Amino acid sequence: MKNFFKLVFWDFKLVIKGSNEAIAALLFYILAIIMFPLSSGTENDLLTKIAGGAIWMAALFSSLLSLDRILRSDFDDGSLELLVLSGISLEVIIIAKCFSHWLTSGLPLVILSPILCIIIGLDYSYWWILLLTLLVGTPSLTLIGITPAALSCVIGKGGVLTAMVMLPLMLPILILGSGAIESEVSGLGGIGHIYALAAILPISLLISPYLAAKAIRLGWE
Amino acid sequence: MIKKPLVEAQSIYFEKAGRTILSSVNMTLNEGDIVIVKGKNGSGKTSFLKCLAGFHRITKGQILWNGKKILPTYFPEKKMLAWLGHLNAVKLSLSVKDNLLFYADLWSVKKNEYDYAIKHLCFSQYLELPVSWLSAGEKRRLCLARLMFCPSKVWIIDEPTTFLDEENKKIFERVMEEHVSKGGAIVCASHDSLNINKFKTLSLD
Repeated sequence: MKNFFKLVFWDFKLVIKGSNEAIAALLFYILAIIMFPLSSGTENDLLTKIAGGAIWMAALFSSLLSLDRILRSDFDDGSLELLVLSGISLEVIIIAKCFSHWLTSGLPLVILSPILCIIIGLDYSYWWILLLTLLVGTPSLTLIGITPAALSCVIGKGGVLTAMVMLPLMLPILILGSGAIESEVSGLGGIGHIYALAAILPISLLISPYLAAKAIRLGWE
Repeated sequence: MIKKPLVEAQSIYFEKAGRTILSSVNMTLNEGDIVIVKGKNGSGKTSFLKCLAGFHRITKGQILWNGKKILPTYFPEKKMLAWLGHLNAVKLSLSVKDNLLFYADLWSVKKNEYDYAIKHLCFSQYLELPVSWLSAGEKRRLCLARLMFCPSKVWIIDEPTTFLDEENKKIFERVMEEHVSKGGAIVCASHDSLNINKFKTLSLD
């Protein structure tokens, strides 16, 4: 467990000092949400209706942008080989990677969401449901994305291919996330959707680190 | 009681994409041994080391670590070996110190061993520099420093002396001898002829 936090801290440091991809993904998310109301007219009712979907689309695409980098640099420069021989199992390494990825690109989305709620024209009283869906949904996005990301660094290509594999797997989260906001806005109550969304998290936490580790091992063979 | 060898490879075979890379290779590594793996390009030196560490799955034969059939990559309870592959595994954006300290911390290395390794490979004045400023030889030397303070008995190293100048090569040869004299063991693939007291050669040709 101590090693787990050492790894998380190390990744965190790498993101802060090194690449600006995490910031790029965050900026993409904010810009997409700022642009959205500008492009879809002046009707406030319409905006309120589709705001949930728009926010979730932006969150999904911004996480796609940064997911590809989670394992790639470590796989390419040999750090992953060294780490797995350091007395930490590959699955734990992968969970640590996911956690630090979520800290650097999922958590900022969650924190920013009340402000974005105002920008996109969603009534401010719904900020809590937006925050809750993102808080429960973004870790699952990272966890589901890790297996395709691992496969992509094994075959040495990323980008569009990874996105094509990831997107269908992430659909349930998108549907439940935006559905929660929509039904809360229409007065039905969105908490049911959030329960379902929360159920995806432990399932993906159990399955995907194992699959990603399998993919990495295949890459080494 | 006879002491079990640290690592033992019993007639291992390894095939990749239908091509036989290793056939019937035997190796025994006891405390105090240095095994130098020799062979032409493509004779499977790196593959052999990767089989030993457990990255590749062998097709026949068996590999024993401390007399047990457990491979280091699948048995992460404790650190079993120090590994130095082709790839340097250093982060270019961080400083030399950050790179070294992370692994020293992860492997719970004693402070004096860490300091000794840095001093021995003359890294004292480089500590604050980012790794991207170092030359290829210096990056390799950085890996050797990390290898030096690694608390494992068995070293598996692949072409450790690439990019090194004569002086540093000599320093590294002494480092290897010192490690073995303390009861360690080394498997090393190398094209360069290393000037070491006593070693066994494993030819893969």
